[in-house]
Amino acid sequence: MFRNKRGVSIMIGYILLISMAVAISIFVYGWLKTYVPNDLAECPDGTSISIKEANCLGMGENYTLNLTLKNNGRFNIAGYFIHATNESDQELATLDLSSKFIRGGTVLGSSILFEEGDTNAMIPNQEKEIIFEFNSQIYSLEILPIRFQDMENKKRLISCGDAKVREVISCS
Amino acid sequence: MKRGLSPVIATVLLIGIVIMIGVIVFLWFKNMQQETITKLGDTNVELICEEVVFEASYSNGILYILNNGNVPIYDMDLKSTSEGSHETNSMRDLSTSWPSAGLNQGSTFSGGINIEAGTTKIKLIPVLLGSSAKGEKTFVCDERIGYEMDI
Repeated sequence: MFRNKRGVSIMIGYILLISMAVAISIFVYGWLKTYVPNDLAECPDGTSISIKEANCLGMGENYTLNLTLKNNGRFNIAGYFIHATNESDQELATLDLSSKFIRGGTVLGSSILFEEGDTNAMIPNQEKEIIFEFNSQIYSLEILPIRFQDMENKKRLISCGDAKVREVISCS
Repeated sequence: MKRGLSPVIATVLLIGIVIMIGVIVFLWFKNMQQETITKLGDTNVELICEEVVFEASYSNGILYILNNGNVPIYDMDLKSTSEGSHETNSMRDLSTSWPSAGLNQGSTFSGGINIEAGTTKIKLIPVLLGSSAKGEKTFVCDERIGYEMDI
């Protein structure tokens, strides 16, 4: 009785197993490939900017802010995002001052670059003066430096979240 | 004399059938899998969620959000928690001043939002826009990526 038991031929069994294994492995490779993290876009440690001087003058609906920024880090900086608070008890600065920019660089979207182009123009220890004009009182400033980084043969603008600076401003 | 298929033809037929079965199994598995959404190249959007960095604050009925990371945030889910219940709404539904393209890097949002009385906490969960085989799709990041605030 046992000699007449029929089953799949060993060769066919191997072919079936190997084919299914190859099919599943191709599928798993395609799916897992998307989970391989690419190089992270981040600023090098040591990127830093500081507000050397901030003079805000004006009253009513006319204010002028003269700002002197200094690169006090170890890497060049391309520009920055600048926001202000327009309420004294406001925690987070959300008023975008890039649209109020007058002199001292060039505007790119909602950021301000120190020079036109895609270069990190502000070298360490360099200072830059910038002027803004706006029509409401501000209480503090937040500046977030940005850099151009080479990624996958392209220049990408990266914000340096760890290097954000904040300063309380008094407009008189 | 018993007649049958030549061994060569039989082997070719078997291999052909096996390859066909392998392709069918592959396509079946592919359809079962949740559609992969990618962003910023071919990286899975779940990994990109880990790179989202933003700050938020809420006072006097106004919500302030600043995207100080490098990942554009298309939308935010606002989960408000009160005693014994919670509710989740999209910022695009809650506020008409949410930017249509979302919050790019360095962008800010400030706008009044109505929060139900009794709400003790709100949590902002980023929603990203990615690409899939069927076009652009949104993806809600995991709640642990969210930013929680006490009210």
